Amino acid sequence: MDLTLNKIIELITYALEVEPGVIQETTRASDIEDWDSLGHISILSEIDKAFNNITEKCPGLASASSVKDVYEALVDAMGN
Amino acid sequence: MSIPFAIERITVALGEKSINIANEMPMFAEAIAKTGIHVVHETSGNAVDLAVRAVEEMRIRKPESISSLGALLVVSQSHTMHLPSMAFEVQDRCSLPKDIFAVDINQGCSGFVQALQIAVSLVQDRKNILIVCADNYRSKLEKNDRSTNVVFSDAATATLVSDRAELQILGSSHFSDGSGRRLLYQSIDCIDNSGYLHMSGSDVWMFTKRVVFSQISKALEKSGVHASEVGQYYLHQASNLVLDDLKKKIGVEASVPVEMGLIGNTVSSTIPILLENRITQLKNQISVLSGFGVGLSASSMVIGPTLSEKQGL
Repeated sequence: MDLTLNKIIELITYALEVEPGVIQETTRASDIEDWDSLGHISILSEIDKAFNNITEKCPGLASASSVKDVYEALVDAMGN
Repeated sequence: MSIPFAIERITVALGEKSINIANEMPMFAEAIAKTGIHVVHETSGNAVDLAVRAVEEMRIRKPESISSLGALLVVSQSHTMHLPSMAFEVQDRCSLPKDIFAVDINQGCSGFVQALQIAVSLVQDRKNILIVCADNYRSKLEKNDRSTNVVFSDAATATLVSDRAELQILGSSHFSDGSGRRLLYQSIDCIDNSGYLHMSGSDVWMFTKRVVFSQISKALEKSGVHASEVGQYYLHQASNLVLDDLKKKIGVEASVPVEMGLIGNTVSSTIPILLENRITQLKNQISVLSGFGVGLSASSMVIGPTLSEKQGL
């Protein structure tokens, strides 16, 4: 699966069970009530399903606190 | 040579108040689908009160073993006093024999497996050993912290280990990484995080993904057991978010009991709660026990029947 910012937004939207459009490129975890520790695990779990357990190679994802952080950590992990 | 032992009986004391998350914490209800936990238990007492209930239940079931107890191992991170050890309060309140080896094991979710390892090493000398796991984590939680409130549950268990030749440890593997100590902790001075339990859930989740399965594999390798020979995997019941990934790695054909929906994550008691009604199964097959969490730590053990049990002697 191709890694794009839109794909990450889609995965985060699904993981947090929020309406489409709520999560955007500039969204930070602190903007979304359900993006807490549990919500973050849901996001990582969806990312793993989509990108073949990539989180195991990307410890920085644990502390990612925005859409941009998540995307950039994955770009680094994939060596893009 | 492996030391033979038996798990004679397990008793359980859950926190007396059952909290239905959907009804009593509706603001957190969406989390149920992720964690698989519908009900958690809370005690109005403390961890020793829970421990005493579990031990008293054991006394009713196994009075002779309790009156001839040789050791008491108390696994807890919910101490009511800095000193002495919680084991002494349990010994006194339950009127346990005084000529016993009594110590605390300050551990969380890995604690039962670690205590069993220690119990087996003592069992030939001490004969009857009681492992008591007791925690009331709910007293440590900040009420708005969804990640912890929808998971942790108060409970105690008492596990009676004897020197009867029924089981043996075939292999074990232990992992301790103190660099992760601040990912799941509670400060003693109540300054950090206002004294509440802090859990960096995503870091702990990633730790379990990275470490636990490979650690189970290491224990199997040490025991000379192939994964296909394992009858049951008894894993710490953290939440579905953790167990789903582990189950996938272990393989769909493996038997991995999950029993936390109406119980919650009871810290070091989750594995004995799983085993409570499966003691007979333990002596008929090879089993893997694996606890993991605070420390960060992970302890996995492969146990199986002794040769005489295998041969039906």
